[in-house]
Amino acid sequence: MPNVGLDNNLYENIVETIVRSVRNELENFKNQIKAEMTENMKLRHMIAMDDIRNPKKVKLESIEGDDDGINQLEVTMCPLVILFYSCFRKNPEKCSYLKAVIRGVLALPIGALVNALGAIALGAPVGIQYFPKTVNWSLLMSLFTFVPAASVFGSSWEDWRRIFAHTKPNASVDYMICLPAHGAVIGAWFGAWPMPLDWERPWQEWPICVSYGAMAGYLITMVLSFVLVLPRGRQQHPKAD
Amino acid sequence: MSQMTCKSLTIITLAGVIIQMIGLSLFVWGFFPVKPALTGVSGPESYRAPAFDSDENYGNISLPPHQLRSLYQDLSGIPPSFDRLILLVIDGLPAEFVLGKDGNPPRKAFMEAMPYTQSLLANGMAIGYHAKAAPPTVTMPRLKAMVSGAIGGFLDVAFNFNTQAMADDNLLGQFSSIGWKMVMHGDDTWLKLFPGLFTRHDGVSSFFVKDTIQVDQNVSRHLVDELSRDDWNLLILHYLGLDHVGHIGGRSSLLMAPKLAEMDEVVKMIHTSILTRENDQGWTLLVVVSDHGMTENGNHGGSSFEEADSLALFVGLRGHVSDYKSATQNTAQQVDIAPTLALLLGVPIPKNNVGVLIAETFDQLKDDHQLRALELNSWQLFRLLDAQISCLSCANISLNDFSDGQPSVTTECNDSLEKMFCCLYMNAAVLHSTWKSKKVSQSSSWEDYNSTVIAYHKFLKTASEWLSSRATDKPVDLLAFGVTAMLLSCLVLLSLTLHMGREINLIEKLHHYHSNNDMQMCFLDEIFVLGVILILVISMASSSMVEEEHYIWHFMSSTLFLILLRKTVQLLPAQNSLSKGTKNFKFQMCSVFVLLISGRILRGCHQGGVNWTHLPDISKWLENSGGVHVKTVQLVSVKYQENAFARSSYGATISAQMIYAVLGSTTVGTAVLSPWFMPIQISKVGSSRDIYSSISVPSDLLLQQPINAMPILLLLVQILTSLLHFSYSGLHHKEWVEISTLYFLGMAGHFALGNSNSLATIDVAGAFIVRGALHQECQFRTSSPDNAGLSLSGSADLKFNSIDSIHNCIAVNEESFICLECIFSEYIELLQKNQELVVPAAFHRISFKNMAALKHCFLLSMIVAFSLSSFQMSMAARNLLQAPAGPLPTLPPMPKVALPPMPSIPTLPQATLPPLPTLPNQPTLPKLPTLPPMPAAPKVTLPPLPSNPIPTTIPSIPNIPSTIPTIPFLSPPPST
Repeated sequence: MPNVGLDNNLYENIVETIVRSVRNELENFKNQIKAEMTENMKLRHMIAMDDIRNPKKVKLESIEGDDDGINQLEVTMCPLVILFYSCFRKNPEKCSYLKAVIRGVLALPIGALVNALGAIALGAPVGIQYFPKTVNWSLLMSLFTFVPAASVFGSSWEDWRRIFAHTKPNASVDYMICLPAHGAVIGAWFGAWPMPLDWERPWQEWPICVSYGAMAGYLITMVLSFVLVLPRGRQQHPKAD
Repeated sequence: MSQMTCKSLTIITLAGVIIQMIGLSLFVWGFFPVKPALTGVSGPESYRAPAFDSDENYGNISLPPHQLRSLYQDLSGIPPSFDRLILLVIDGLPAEFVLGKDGNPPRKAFMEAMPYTQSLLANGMAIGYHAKAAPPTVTMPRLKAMVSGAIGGFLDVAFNFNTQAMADDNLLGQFSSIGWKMVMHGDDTWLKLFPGLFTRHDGVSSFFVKDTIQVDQNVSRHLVDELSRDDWNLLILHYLGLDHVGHIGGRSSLLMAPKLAEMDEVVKMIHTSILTRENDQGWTLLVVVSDHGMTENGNHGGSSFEEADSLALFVGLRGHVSDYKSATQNTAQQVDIAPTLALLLGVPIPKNNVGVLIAETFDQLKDDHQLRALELNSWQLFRLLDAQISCLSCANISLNDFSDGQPSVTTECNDSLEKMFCCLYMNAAVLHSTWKSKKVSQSSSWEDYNSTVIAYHKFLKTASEWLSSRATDKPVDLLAFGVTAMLLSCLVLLSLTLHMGREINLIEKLHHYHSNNDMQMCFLDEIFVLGVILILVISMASSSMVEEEHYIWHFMSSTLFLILLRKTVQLLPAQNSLSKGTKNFKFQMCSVFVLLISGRILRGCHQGGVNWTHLPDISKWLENSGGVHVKTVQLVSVKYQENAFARSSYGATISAQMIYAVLGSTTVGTAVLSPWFMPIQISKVGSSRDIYSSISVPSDLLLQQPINAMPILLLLVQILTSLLHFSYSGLHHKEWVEISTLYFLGMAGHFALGNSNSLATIDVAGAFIVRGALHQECQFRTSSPDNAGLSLSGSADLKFNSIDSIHNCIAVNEESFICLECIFSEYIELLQKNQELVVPAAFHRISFKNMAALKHCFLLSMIVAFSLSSFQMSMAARNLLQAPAGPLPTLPPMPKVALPPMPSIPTLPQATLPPLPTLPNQPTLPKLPTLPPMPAAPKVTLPPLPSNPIPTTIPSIPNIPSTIPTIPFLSPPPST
């Protein structure tokens, strides 16, 4: 049996879980935006009342608020992603579910490190005051990129290279790993564009708009991967029978 | 597919290039318009109303000076208020230092530094103005504006790199025509602008930017003598020291207050001498002006408020009382100085003047004289308008129309442009004439007078504004034509490239047919490189993206490196079959990481741009932490680079010439030998060419400020690494990807050295070093000191060879003037820093000359080929200092030996603390009680405040160096 053996039930399960997770994510996103907006309202109120002259204060506070949002998102998404992708581990007969989960958990900090290094190389600010923000962001990115791949492929170098270097997904699960990861990275890359501009918006601070970009890219490519996966699943379905 | 012959290829290429150059020059010509200026000199006719038949030839300019002077007096009807003028020019003094800003007095330290000037202002003995200077805010165009009242085109910066005598009508020419004797001490720009006009002069060069003492002493030493003499009418004193202080340490330099105190002393000395002279021998007017201001960093050139905020301070106006409060708000234009002085001193207003007289300075005059002054200014501006607007036909609106009926101020003048000017002018003229006739009949009223003044001012203001805006108008057709030509040439060259590419593609396909898989995957970097072009074009549309261009370049180069990393992984052999392959792969990976890391450090070196300059960066940290770190970093960088390139030839002990001798030979040697040195597949032509660039980097290091030593080293590392990376990765990269990588590197490096798109970030202090070092190179290459022009380009060929160095050069070569002596001090300094050898300068000089004589012309053909580009470069650069383009300044050869080394100058303790971004919470708290209407509100709004975690990260307060380094000045000997 090549790739992932998809029988009827499992396939439906997948779709269900995915839909749930997407819904969850969207809700989180909404919550986050809400939180931000309330934060903004508070700030505006404070500005009106307080005549804050220093814009940096505003920025700092709003960032902290946003960090909470990312934190929440991570905390809720992390187990979902790990558990979900661990279902599709490669070689399920050799590798137990628990092992896949552990792999995913281990990959989280490693992927975060790689992502953080990449971000810093691309110009993310370095400094103690930025450290928690960078950590938050890179954990999120790790969740988008590394964790699924680690859960599924483990330490199979060839698979990793195929997905991330060559971008050649074959199986359905490959699509579900490869596309969102690339989408998140590209989204984050584009999300960084407004950062140096002089609009003086609080969300221009690192890593808010980059996170937004990453999430947007992730969501879009997630949907795209489903669009690509669904017909494949139907094709494979009779074969599996 | 028809093969293109060599001949047609050459012809088409040449045609494309030539069309490109023509288009570019047309565009530049249109973009920096040369303002049409009236020729000729204002004569007696300027005291007559402008006749509409334009028959104004009086032809009596050839009168002897004394007759002319009395003629002017008779014609003008204004008794001259002063018979002597002292023009004290303080280079780069922002008016803010003297007058304050926005109603606030100046900084306390500056107030205390200038007690006499401040007391003059407070007592109403002086009146000061924020005189807004027009860009470019560099000395020479500003001096021109002050004496002629005209706003030159922006290209004045470029056209006048070789300051030439001023041909337009100006105050000094007018003074000389009425027989005034003039004396000038200070900046020798005056001498170049007005050669032969001064009876006595002592010019100092604005060249030695690091000299802040001698340059002013050379002016002040004449002061006592000149003030005691009575044989001059105009004394110009141009002090450069303050500008130099700014260039070294910025506005808040520690040297600023002492320098202001020195200037205050000068003002005091002059004013006391004026007071003692008064009453018996006539009146002297002291005008203190500055040519431009300076930014916070002490640079200038742009049009920001700080740079354009120049001073105009009139001292010694009789019977003038003004309260101090208003003085901080007084604003004028810098060009207003010219008509004001002309009218106060009784000469015709220069022909091209667009300024308006400063009304307050005429308060001492009687009413009719004041009106007469306004009238004269209006006539002059009207003549200028007449020349600019071809059909300014006021003839059909004759005076009679107005004088018959009742003139009124309220006449609305909202017609077309010409009619509006006519109407405004006529309005004022009629009011004036009615006032005069009423005055004869003793029935003139205060209202009449007032309305006349208002009408005149209205006309003057409108006309002046229109004329100054006119100076920056751009001819659209010229621009369009230039752009079309450039597009056309682009199309020609592009089609040529495509045509050639089609042929080459066939060959490449043969190479790659066996590895079809790889071909598909290699496209990402190429797509990205093409996409960058698009991104850049789009980003140029947004001004804030242009301001922050350095972010774009760093982002792009890093992204490209990441893509290269990905590609390296792609190309990794599937099985770790051969050890050689793995090693190769490892090396490539490492090189990309080195590129990424050094790129990131480079980006952290300078926070450029506009919005985020306050953020901490490495250079600020180094400056704050004092000289030791800087020196260590520089030492390490220098040593590394020496070792990297001249290991065999010179060890620990080297003399200055040897550096360049070895450098030169290495350049040649590497160029020739590079195919064997590096594992380059010979198919790559580009690589060997690029070696030049890497070699020239160590020499660039010597040209940079110490703070930039590390960035230069990193740049060098980057270039080498990228070259190695490409050579190891074989044929997998397209050549143009490699070239664009180097180009990205160069752009990112250009910004990493602290440069930006603003004219103000050009570091003039660094230019001082460059000039010397460049000359060394030139000398070495051409060994013909008299052939300065050629040798200059000789040095440039090396730089223009490389993609990277183009930008490096622009970063470095603000000033490529030639000075033999500077180089020696530079090298001695360098050597002392290295703690290796201190060679007497005499030895340097002698052996250097021998060495230079032994070498002969190096690549003359290259010199010719690159002379054009280097000429552009040096042209733009040179005028920034308004340095002479002529022969070498003949300076005594030896004095540098006795001087202390200069290393610690750039490490002057910066008084500016870095912004404390995380601390603003506390200061805002006390403000809450000050809101009376909502006493209960703070309770509601307070919760957010305590919830904010008190910042755990208090920014490390930089160690302010406890020992203030001795500030050695490079004080050149007084130039004769």
